[in-house]
Amino acid sequence: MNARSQVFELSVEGRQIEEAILSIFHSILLHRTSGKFNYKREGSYSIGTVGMVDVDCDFVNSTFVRVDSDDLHRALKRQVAEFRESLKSPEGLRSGQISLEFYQKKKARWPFGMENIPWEIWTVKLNVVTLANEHERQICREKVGEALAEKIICIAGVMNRPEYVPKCQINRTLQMFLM
Amino acid sequence: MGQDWFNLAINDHPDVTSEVKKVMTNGRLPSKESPMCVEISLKTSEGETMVLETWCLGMNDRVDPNAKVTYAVYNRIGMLLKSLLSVTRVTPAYQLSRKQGTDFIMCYKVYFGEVRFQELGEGFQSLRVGSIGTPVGSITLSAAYRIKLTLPEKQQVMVQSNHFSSEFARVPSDQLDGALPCVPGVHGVFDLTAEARHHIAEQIASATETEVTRSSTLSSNTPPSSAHKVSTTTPPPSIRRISQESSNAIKQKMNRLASSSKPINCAKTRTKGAFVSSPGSPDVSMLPNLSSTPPFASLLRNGDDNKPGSLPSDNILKNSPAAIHRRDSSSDKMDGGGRPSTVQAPPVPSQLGWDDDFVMVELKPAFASHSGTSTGDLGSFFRECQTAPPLSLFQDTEVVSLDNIMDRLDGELCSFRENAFKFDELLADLQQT
Repeated sequence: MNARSQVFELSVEGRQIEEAILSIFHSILLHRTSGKFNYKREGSYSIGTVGMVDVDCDFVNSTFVRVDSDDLHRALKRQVAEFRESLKSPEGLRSGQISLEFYQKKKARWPFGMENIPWEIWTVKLNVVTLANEHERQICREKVGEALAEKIICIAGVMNRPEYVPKCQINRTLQMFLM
Repeated sequence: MGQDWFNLAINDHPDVTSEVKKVMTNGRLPSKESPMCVEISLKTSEGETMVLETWCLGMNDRVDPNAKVTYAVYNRIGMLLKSLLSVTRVTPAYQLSRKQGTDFIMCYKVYFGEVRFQELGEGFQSLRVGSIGTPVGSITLSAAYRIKLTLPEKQQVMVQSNHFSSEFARVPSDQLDGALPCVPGVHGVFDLTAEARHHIAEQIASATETEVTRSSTLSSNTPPSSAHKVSTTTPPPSIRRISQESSNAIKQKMNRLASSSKPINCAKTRTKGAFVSSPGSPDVSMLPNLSSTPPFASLLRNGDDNKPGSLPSDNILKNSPAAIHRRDSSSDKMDGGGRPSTVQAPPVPSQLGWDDDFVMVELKPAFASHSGTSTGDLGSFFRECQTAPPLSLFQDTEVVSLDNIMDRLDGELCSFRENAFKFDELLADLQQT
């Protein structure tokens, strides 16, 4: 399928993995989240309000804005934590990637039930580095902060292009894919 | 649900909202010629300022004739605002703003005009948040921010010299307001300037045309840190416009209040009549507000009545036919030599809706002679309240003189010295155990 794809690459320290991914994915989700749809009658609906919260990172010099939804945050965090554990495990994968995929659900031909058709995929490739001392950590903290700032500006740029976004349907859902 | 603009829960800051509305007087909107900018600057406790970033909302010629304003453009503005929220968090200024406190504060300034890139130092970065095509052109949102965050020497002088540059002159609205602190309740040196600014704003709001130069010269008394922002001897057009508006508002008010057909002249002459001993005194304009309030005006006129030459305004009044209507009742009273001990009733007080005030004034606690029983009671009550009885605790200490204290201290010291060996014993005891 012709899904749009964006890839971000980052080098981070082990403890920065989670915050780095969360700040990128939450920024994306903020843009892709709409308020709740309230269907009044056929073809008529009103859209609710999206609330936002600032999140300050502990291990990166960065702050990001996320949708004020604990459920969304929990779901995202759980998957990112799994990814982090797989990277930090002693047997040592030192790099990996995680994707956030937006898809449409469509009815497929029999005998298949529903078909998921992605239309946008965001991928973060991480390279985990080990740092020797506190001084290097301090530099890394700033460097990763700057890199994330760049990514967030890039996300804003992509989001504001007049590109295809599927029409909102009731069944629109989001799902994470671990690779 | 769904009541918020662009479906976003963004908290408005009342100060910022009013500031922006002030800049957007007469429904002025960002246009191709003059975008709207928000300048974020840093101000140190020494009064030095440095522009950190400027956000710019503008338009360009890229027309999208097919764009539907509802809801395609609307939704995309929502998206743009989300981007703006995300991106504002990643600029160096945001990181700095989280650390503001006693050393420095962040200020903002809203103006129409081009981004002043030269304020952002060498190697500034610019970023595009996004643009939205509409049938009348594209809305663009961009920002430029400073990279070098060290405060250069003589920054203050640089700002001042820029202030009078030709580019600056093109944005007169700039001079209306200095940069305002981003965080409410930041106290210290900065508060003074804010106060002064508010004072100026109030003065402008209540000003008549003649007062504008006064308020602007007054503004040059503000501390040097902000003086360069407002210290112009000739008021910028925008100030003049506001003053005209406010006088228009006063006129309208007077129109409503008075039954005469031309109350405007009347309002002016009344102003002078109440406060001026000789016509044309420049002090008239200092108290424009009070004069329009009948209770105080008439009270003060009581004092003026004692002076023989205190009625030049009345002469003016009589010369102006429009004023006669309005002044009928009060001038009749004066001409008739009526005793002015009771408060002169203003023209049709019930119509003016100030009845309550008049009840208070007739009690006259401030001017009360002791003859009236009720006012006397009130007066003594006031006096009692004003001078609360001192606490007995403090009365006791007042009785004890310094000598007494010294004597007592001497005695205590002596007894301590005598008992010094006891203390030593105690200490030795404690050390043993």
